[in-house]
Amino acid sequence: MVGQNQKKTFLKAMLYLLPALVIIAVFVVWPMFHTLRMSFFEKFNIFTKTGEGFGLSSYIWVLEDPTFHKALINTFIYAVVTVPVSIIISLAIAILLNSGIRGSKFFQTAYFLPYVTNAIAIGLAFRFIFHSEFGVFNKFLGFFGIDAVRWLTDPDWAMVTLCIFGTWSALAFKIVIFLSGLQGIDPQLYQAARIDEAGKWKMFTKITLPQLGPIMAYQFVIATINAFKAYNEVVGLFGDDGPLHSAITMVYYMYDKFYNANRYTIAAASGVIMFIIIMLFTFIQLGMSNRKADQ
Amino acid sequence: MDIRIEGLTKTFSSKENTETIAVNNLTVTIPGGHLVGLLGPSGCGKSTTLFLLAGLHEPTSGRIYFGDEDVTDLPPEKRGIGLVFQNYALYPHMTVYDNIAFPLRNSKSFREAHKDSRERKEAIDMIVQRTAKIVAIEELLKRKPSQLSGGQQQRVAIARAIAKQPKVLLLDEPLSNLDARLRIQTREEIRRIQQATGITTVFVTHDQEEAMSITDEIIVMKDGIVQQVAHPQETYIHPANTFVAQFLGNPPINMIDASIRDGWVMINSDRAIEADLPDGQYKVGVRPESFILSDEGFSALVSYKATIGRDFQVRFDMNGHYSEALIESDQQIEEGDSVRFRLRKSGVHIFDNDGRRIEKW
Repeated sequence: MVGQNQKKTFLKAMLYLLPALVIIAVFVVWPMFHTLRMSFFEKFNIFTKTGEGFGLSSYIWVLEDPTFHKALINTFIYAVVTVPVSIIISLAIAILLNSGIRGSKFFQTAYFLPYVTNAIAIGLAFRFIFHSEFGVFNKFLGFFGIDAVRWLTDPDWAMVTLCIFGTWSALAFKIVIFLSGLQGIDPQLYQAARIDEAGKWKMFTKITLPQLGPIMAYQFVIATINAFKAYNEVVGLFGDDGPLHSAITMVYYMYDKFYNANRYTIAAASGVIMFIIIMLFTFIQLGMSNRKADQ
Repeated sequence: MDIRIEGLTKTFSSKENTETIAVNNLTVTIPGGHLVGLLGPSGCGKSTTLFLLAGLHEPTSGRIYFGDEDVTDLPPEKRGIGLVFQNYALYPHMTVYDNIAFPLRNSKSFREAHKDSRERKEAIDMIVQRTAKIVAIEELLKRKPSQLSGGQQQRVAIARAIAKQPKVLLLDEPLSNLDARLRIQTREEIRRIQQATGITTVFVTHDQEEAMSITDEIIVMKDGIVQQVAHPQETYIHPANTFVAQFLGNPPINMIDASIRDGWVMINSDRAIEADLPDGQYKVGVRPESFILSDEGFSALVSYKATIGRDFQVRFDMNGHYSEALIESDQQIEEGDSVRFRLRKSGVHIFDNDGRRIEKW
């Protein structure tokens, strides 16, 4: 009887899950499988879905391609810079907003707006800000006697510009998450800490940071994944991959190989490589934060 | 060290521009080394008073002195107090050891007294071990607060509060989260710890029994105003007014409107007890244990009887009010009986029409 009941419950559950499962299968599992299959061919016809030259040749090609190296390095730089910097800045802003300053409700909305605004539109706005002749940014630097920088057209500066823009556009979401985390901390802990003669800095390091532990880990994982997937920011800011391909990222490389060069197997192979890299990083980060939580 | 509170007032203003007076012109002196209970129903301003003492609230007016020092404008960290919060507010990510050591590690005076970092570490360790012993949690030092029971957490909170040897220990309803048995055990523990350390302690509670059983003195509050400051027994035997009389005692005192005629308190048109007071209307409070079955006195019809422990709880009509009496269970009394009661003078309080107790009658 019990076994039959369990079977019934299982079937019922499957029925409810079916629509979601179908959608996931069609739009996630199948493309992933398809990409994986495609990546092992040397040549692939996307209309007949047939390929020739089964093997690792596409992977070898990608791993030896200097442009892919450039994309890989750029992506790493982008992640290493924007993830910690945006986390630090967004935490500072969240703490400020949470401290009950005047008009904090307005600022909370203001800081969240970029998140619901289209990345390309924001990119266009930033193109104006970063414009070497008419841009606000250079005007601002001019006040301090700093010479105009060709933010968008100088290959040496393109990555700097991209990192500034990437940090800025990553703030909104993080601020909201940190704010909710801060509001979850029992305010009596701070009262207790005051009585225990803890100063502001001590309260931050001994109460706020440890209390935000799980949220911090979440932010790091999500931010790193998002940084590795940087594409909107690049296109929004430069329209392409920057002057002389100087701001090319892994996803842009993938896109470029697929749509511009029509080298489907190369695009698929680079996608699989990216998938493995992101997965490895996520596991490492989760492992680290789990070990910390255990201590 | 005495705590002197002079004309302390705290008003909170809400968005609708209504002002609530949480504490109203409070003047009281708490003698050094005493355990004093701040007692009153919820919303009476007792917790606010405690937070004013702690410095977590700023008074609207009035002064607070610790000994000779005016601490009114001092921030909490400079007042030398220990505070046990209602929900303990232990640092959840720290071990019990670190929770207790936290105030010591922060204390400026402690750091100055122990300049060498290794010596300081040893001094902290010694104090943590000693404090843990006082509250009997030596074997829990390595645990996190979430791994402790309510009673253990409460003792850790006390240990943290007394570790830096505060001049004043403040406890905000520390027993409200404990079950009945643990509550009795822990309140005796608080008494023991307080006597062992000799710290002037203020204990906020809404539970009269709690306050009666462990404090040296009770401050009864209502609507932000002090009703009576006295030894716990005194507040029961000589309540200052009808509020105190009704708030203390379980089952509660019977409060009736009665007249005095020709030197007698009249109940159900019978003479109940002699009172040398001018004729008129009074409020008369009778403790449930002060009814004595008798051949004379006032008559009453028993409408309900229950046995509670060694007593009968008896309900009957008294001047149109249902009153309750505790009668020793060796007496013969049944539901529906028509009986006569005399009153024991020690358990009868007569109040004037403003609710103040009349001393002599």
